[in-house]
Amino acid sequence: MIYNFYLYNRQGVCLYQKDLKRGSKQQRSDTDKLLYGLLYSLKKFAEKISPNDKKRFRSYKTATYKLHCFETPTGLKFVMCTDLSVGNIDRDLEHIFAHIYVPHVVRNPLAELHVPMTPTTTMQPLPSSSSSSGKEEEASDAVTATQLQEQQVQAAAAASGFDAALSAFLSSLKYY
Amino acid sequence: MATTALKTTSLSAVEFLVAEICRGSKDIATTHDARYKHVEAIGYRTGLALFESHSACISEAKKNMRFQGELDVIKYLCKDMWQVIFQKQIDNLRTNHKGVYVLHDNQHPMLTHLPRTIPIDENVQLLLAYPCGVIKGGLAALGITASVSAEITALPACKFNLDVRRA
Repeated sequence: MIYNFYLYNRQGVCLYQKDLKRGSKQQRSDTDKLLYGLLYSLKKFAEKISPNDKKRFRSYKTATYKLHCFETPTGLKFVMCTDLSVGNIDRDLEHIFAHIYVPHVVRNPLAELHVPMTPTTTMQPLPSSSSSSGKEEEASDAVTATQLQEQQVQAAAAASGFDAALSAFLSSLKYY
Repeated sequence: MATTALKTTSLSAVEFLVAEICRGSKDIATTHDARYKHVEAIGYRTGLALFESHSACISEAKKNMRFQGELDVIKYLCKDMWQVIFQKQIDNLRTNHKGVYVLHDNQHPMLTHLPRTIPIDENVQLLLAYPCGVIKGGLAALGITASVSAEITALPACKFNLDVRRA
């Protein structure tokens, strides 16, 4: 069972979060910031008391859930909360980074890095020739109000590429 | 293991593209400083994204090592990233171990095809704004803010001066 997925950048901005608990109530809006603070402190402390050089905070377990964290050399943190039956999912988090985040966000010429990606609830059809910017982007002066609206729709479409690929991958995992 | 295949780009495609960026910057900015900043910003954004995506391709051994400090990051830049972008490595790295690094490139791709006898004026210096930006952006992606400047020693060799002490 996967409960949650969070993605943070080096500065602690929550770029993406997904709540997969079925029938859950709305979480407080600052849970993501608190979680980052916790992970940052845990990581620093784990490095301090590590008996040898191999120091990397991987996961923690409570009575009800297990939280896994994968950090890339560039400071991106891929965090996933699952139930207790799940083992080490480093490989899966790495897959999300290398095969979902990198192709859909880093290599997407219209996407902005380090900007929160809001997952869209409705699937937008991707434009055949993408001409506008992705995520949140300033409109040029000549753009009219309707064009701006169109741009926002297309921006959401660009972001939903990551969302769709992530949802597809997560549902393919055997502990979903 | 999750490894992504590293696609190699045609070096000439990169060279021509950067040359056109430099040429096109003349329409965007009037002073040399503004043009330099513009091209450097393009390189910065490129470096940021490139290092981000390349860190997905690091071999297993390197991944477990992480980066044990600044020098490791600079060495990664000189060996792996220079290879990815310019298909060669940095020829010489000097440091004073206090935050100043000098990267010697004896045959920089942006300078190789220039005639050896031309005067080193603003246009030539503009060509190096892009690699400076890439270095700056790449280091920023890995958490190091540095100021980067380029010096042309003798065509086609050049030096990149990195200063980590002041951003």
